[in-house]
Amino acid sequence: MAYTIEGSTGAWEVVVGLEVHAQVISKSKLFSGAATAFGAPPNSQVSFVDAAFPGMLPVPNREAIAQAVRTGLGLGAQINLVSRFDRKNYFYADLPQGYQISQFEHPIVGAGTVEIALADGSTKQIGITRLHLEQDAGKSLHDQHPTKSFIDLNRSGVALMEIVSEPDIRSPEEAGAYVKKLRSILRYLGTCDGNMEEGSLRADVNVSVRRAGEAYRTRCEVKNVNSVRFVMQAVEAEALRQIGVWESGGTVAQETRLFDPNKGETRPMRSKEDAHDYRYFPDPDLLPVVLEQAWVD
Amino acid sequence: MLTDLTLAQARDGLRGRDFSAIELTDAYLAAIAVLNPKLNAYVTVTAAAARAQAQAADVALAAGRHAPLTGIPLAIKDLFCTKGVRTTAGSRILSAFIPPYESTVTANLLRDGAIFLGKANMDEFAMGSSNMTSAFGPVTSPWTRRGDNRRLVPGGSSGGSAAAVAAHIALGATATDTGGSIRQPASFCGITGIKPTYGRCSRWGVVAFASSLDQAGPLARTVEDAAILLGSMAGFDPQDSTSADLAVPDFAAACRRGVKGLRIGVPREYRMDGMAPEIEALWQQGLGWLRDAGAEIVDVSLPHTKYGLATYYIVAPAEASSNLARYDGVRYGARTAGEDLAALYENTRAEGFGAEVQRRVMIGTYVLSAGYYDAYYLKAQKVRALMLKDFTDVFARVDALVTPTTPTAAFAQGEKMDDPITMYLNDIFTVPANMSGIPGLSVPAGLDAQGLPLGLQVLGRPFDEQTVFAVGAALERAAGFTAMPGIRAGG
Repeated sequence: MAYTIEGSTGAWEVVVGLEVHAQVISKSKLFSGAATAFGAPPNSQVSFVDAAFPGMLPVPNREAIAQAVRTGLGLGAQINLVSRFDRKNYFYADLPQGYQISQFEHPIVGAGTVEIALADGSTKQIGITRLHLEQDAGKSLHDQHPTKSFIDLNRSGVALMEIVSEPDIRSPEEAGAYVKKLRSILRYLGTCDGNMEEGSLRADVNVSVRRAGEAYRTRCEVKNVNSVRFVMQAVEAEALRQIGVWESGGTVAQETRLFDPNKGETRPMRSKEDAHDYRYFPDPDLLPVVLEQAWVD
Repeated sequence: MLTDLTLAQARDGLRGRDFSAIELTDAYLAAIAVLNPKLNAYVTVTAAAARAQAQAADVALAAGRHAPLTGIPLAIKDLFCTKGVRTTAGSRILSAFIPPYESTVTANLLRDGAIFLGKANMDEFAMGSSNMTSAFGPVTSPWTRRGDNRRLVPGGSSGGSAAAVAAHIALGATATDTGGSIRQPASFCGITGIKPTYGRCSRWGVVAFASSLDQAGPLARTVEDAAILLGSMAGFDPQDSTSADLAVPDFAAACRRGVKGLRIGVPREYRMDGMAPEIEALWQQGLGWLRDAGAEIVDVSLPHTKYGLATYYIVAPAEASSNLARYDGVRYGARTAGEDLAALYENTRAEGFGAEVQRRVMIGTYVLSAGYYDAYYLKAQKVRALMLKDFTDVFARVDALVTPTTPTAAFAQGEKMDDPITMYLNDIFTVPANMSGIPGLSVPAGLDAQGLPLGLQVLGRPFDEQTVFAVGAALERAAGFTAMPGIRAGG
């Protein structure tokens, strides 16, 4: 029996896709030789590249690329022999370069599948859209001083794999099962330690609701959810909120939201006026990543 | 005078112990003290460090140990990060920035024994063709028009480097070229400069303007001197992913090859309306010299030349808008406080960047914006590929191309300042080499009616700087260019 939520006007289906950010297990960062150990004193693992000093250039870490390929193979996914790094431009105090190096148009890994097992004994295939490599940003600490923000760049430049699923997930249970399965695959492969409490695995949860048989309605993205339980709760809370909006005659606006586990609700993260135009373009400091099939095999 | 020697002559004199490195360096430092107040070619003079380096060079020379540049005093464009020495990029925002690292190119020069006299003035972040956009004031060309003492521009953005070499207050200089910033000032100042193939010199530690176009190269008094300097500056660097993993050939030897049997192309699209007749005449004369030296002159076509400037002024600002995002007042450089983070950014960048840099950051941000990317940046990249194909096709038939370097001789400070487009037109002959990554050299070939130097440009195949040097040296021999600027050491 498919999962639905009963609203005041009838049953609603929940549609979920996940973007999981998995920190790559690697001694050094994606484009610099700085170390990546968790819990080091603030700003103790920062190279001139990570701090975006003038004239510094990124050099891809071959091990991080190998880890992404291993993960792609573990997901039964297409390995793209040619991929490319792009710049995602925005200003923030914990983003030293003023851009994040990511893969936009040509990710290193393409379509794949994860099979999840459900409580009723059934299994389900969840499609993987893509996996790409990107740099993490630093960390802004807003609670250390009454009027100042502190910046820790230890995480700046750390390699992340962003694993994007198809909108194939239909319930909180499936969402939780997907994250658990993905985490065990990553741990088995040794490509990510999966520690959600340390932030090395985080999920952005895309949720929409619809009537049976309808096309997709507008989705909202719940950012940075950091445990399996919270992922499940966020799906349910956000679905209930959207159903409330639709049933009261309103329209769900596409936006980015945060999940508050204490209140069990989501709230808007940034307003439309702050919407970013990331001005993606190929990073001219880097050549395309070209892999040989024999090396992949 | 010691400062009149070419780099090759000074090198031989040092090795022959005709004079010491400290004597040579002191001669340059004395000339800087006299002339720099007039020219503003240096923003920082590192006299004490230079003398210490010279003393070390003398110890090495006395022991019979010498590297290719032992004891040779150079000016370093202030775009190259120099460890412990302020590096400003000509900008207020970096006016107090002291890098804790040495750029690969300057490290290579130090490895080869060079002495650094100081940091050369430049257009802010290398954006300009006049040296008028420097936060440290304009550089004055050592040249003046006959019977007219108005101050002229040395060209840009490597104007301080070019003026220093032309006025004999540096024996040679490093420079960079994103759209002509080595070749245009070389032409305006009557000296030689080469932008090598993209990837020949490492960009590591060079403050970035437009990463896919930026390339370092030397400015020098002769073609051979430029070849000697490039031989030290160039080389593979694993810290720059776009650096070419190729051996550095003997560029200086290539200067002695001659041009007999070479096929020299003359691109018809470079014959543009409004070009000064004397530049056209000099171009024809240069081709005649090469014909006399045994080269064959061939008319060729580069059909996409006319799009070069427009596409350059999309690609370069786009990359610059992203490259300059790091100057935000958060970690280093000048900061102007604000009540929140957005105000900090706005105040810092409004105070820290000059008008031309702000203009290009805005143009670049615009052309990368959603809805405009395809129409501007993507289309510009497609045109860029066609421009490279033009060159690839032509270089299947000829060994090098010869063109004028600039459409005019140097202009006066304050001229061409009203309309940025007029200024941008100065780059029309130089930009295609950057867009295509090919090497380009400017060599002085004659004077215009007002007594100002004019340069000819030699373009070559990717990583075939040797042929470019051979053609440049042949033009130099035939031109016999001996004119000197009015302002120079001992002049």
